[in-house]
Amino acid sequence: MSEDLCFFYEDATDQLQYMENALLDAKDGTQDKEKIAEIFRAMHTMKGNAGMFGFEDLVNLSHKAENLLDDVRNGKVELDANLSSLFMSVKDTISLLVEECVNGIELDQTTRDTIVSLENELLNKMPTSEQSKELESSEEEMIEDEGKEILWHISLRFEPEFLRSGMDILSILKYFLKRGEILLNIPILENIPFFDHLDPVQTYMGFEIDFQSSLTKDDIIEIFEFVEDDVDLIVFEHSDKKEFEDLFTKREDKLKEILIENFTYEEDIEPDETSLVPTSNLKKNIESIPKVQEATTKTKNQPKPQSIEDNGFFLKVNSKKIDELINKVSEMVIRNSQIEGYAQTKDDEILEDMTNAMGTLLEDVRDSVMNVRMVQVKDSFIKYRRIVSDTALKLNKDIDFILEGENTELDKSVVEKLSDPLTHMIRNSCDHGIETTLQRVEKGKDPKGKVILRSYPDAGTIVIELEDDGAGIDKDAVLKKAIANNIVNENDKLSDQEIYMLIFSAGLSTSQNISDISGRGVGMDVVRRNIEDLRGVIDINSKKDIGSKITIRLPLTLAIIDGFLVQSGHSKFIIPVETISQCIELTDEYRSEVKGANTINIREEVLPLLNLRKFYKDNITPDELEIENDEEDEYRQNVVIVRYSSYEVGLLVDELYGQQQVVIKSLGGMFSNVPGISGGTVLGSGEIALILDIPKLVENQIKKGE
Amino acid sequence: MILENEKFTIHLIRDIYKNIKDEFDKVDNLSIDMKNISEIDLSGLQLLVSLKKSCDKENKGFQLINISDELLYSFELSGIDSILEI
Repeated sequence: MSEDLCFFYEDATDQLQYMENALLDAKDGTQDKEKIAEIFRAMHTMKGNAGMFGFEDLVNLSHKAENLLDDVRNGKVELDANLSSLFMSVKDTISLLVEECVNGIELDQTTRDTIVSLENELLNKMPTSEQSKELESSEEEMIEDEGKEILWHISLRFEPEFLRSGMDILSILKYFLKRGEILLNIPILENIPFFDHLDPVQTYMGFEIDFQSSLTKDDIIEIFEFVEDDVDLIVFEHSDKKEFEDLFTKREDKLKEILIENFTYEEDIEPDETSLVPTSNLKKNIESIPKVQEATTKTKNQPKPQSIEDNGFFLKVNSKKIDELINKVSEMVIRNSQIEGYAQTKDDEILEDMTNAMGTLLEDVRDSVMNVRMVQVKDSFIKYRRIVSDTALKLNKDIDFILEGENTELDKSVVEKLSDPLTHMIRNSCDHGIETTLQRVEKGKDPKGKVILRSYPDAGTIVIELEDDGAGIDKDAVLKKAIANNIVNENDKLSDQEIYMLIFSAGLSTSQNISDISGRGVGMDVVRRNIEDLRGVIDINSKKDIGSKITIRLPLTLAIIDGFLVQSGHSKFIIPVETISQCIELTDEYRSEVKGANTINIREEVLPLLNLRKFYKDNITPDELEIENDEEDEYRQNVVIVRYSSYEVGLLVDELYGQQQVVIKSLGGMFSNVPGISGGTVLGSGEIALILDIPKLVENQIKKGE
Repeated sequence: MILENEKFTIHLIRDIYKNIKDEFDKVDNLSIDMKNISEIDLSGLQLLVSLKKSCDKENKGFQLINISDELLYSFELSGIDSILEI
């Protein structure tokens, strides 16, 4: 996806989210002007942006919705529950269209049918007097907003880097043609150097454009929204002499001359009406420009107000840039610790003090940069309102969704990866947790069910709780099902906690009826896997008829882990500390019970034993092998026992070094298929250690065992 | 000279610049065949204007031939058609 398309996609997603939030607030209908204006604005921006990229299906649908919204805004049509749900369907379809447009997918017939029927519905809701008008104008490709046309003067200059933004000025000019008429376009070429001195990727050109359109100044500025940092844009009404004078002070010395030459500006001289010679096909006879109404005194023109309030302003930055920064800073921390080590060997106290101070400072910098990645969970969590409201409607239940601690901050990538598992869990709560209204009344509970999504920071982790006041988990049913599916043994003694955790096992659904919402028994195990991928821990609590609470505890960031450094053969490995249950020396006590060297017996429990060296086919020299064989008694072997879900596996390694914080780095595409390695890290010594992906390793081992 | 690329845009502009520069230094009469070019952007437009400026300064002939309709439209839209004398 090109960069500008990415921006479009992100912005569209934002607008659709605003729209959805406002529509949810107005789902039972509303008179609230603010809410209606919010929906209108989002739809309007959506249309404008789609137009710039020539996504006509998108433009047409959003245009029709915008027209109806305009009537709602003007009080001609009332926004009732029906209309609100119609707009919600339009929003959903637009959302689908955005995906398809961005990915260049041809619309299928079903989507086309949906669009047509939505457009008809929108039309039917319009006041009858406007329907015919709308029908007539919809023949045209692009319908102008009502309102009088104004002749604007647009002055464009670009930052040298503009071309790299990926946005092409020609597509913006083409868009202008759709929204009005370009009466004159004077390219400003004075700054283009001679060929010898040309840097072909720099921008030198500018444009002075006379544009007649019913768009407002804000509309025009909005067109440049994607590139506002790289464009120096001045827009004013052509009739405003003073603005022209201001323009001449800001632009090239020759600009006044050029504009006079092109008859778009005159200096207290009577216009020579006969000498209009168009220099471009686009240039139209200036005479035809209707004199625009009295110049309204507007606030002094400036590119865009940059209001810096106490709480700062927002920057949209590609996350890759931040990742790179984190990477570089982390590298500095590592290098610094190398210097520290060196200082220690040299017994140089001054150098040691200096590197210590530097180290502290660098760690601060790293923390600050990490902090940049943190976003409030609010923006992402708000969408669950819709999920609860839709699910409740489908199930004919009455459910309130409450969001608590939505200002809690979490790593953006974590928030994104949480989306699927949370959606699934919330649906489950609505479907299996909350009872029907009738059942609730019978139990003497509030007929309205409650689903609460809560988040808060706790001891260096972020806790996310999903609580409902439903029926609770039926322990016996879960256990029975788990026994029937051979997930646990009939004789196993399980605590309540362990029984609840069984709902996260593969192939377990206690729902009597399989609905399309949840209940196929695939899902909760995937949920757990997703959470564990985020290095999170799930806990679950439930009380019959009181409700259930699922608690997810997540690390603040994915970029750093607490690792345990070990050596196996030639390689050093990092094992994430939270996966380790214990470390032992492989003594006779255990060794004697090793069966075929593939298992280990710990406290009467037989665990599979994975020899890392053999697993990664470390080519140890025959000499080393001899040592191992001949002096077996003195050669200490260590086993790190790691745990993944209910499985434990022993990893046979040569050396244990201890715990340390490491920065995770990707190994790149080349090594993405190496089993059981999730990344690498650079150690203080400058050596590289590979980070073991314990879940994958354990799964691998279990599969082999089977 | 014939430009081989389809696009006269930012992604290829450095290569195109180099090719034209070599030719520019060699000849007294620069004629560029645009028959393969179907797309141009601001970087391309600028390059042509700069080339035209330099040819004028050094009294070299400058000519663009086989301009497609799409290209012509881009020249007109940006207003540089008259500068390039098309």
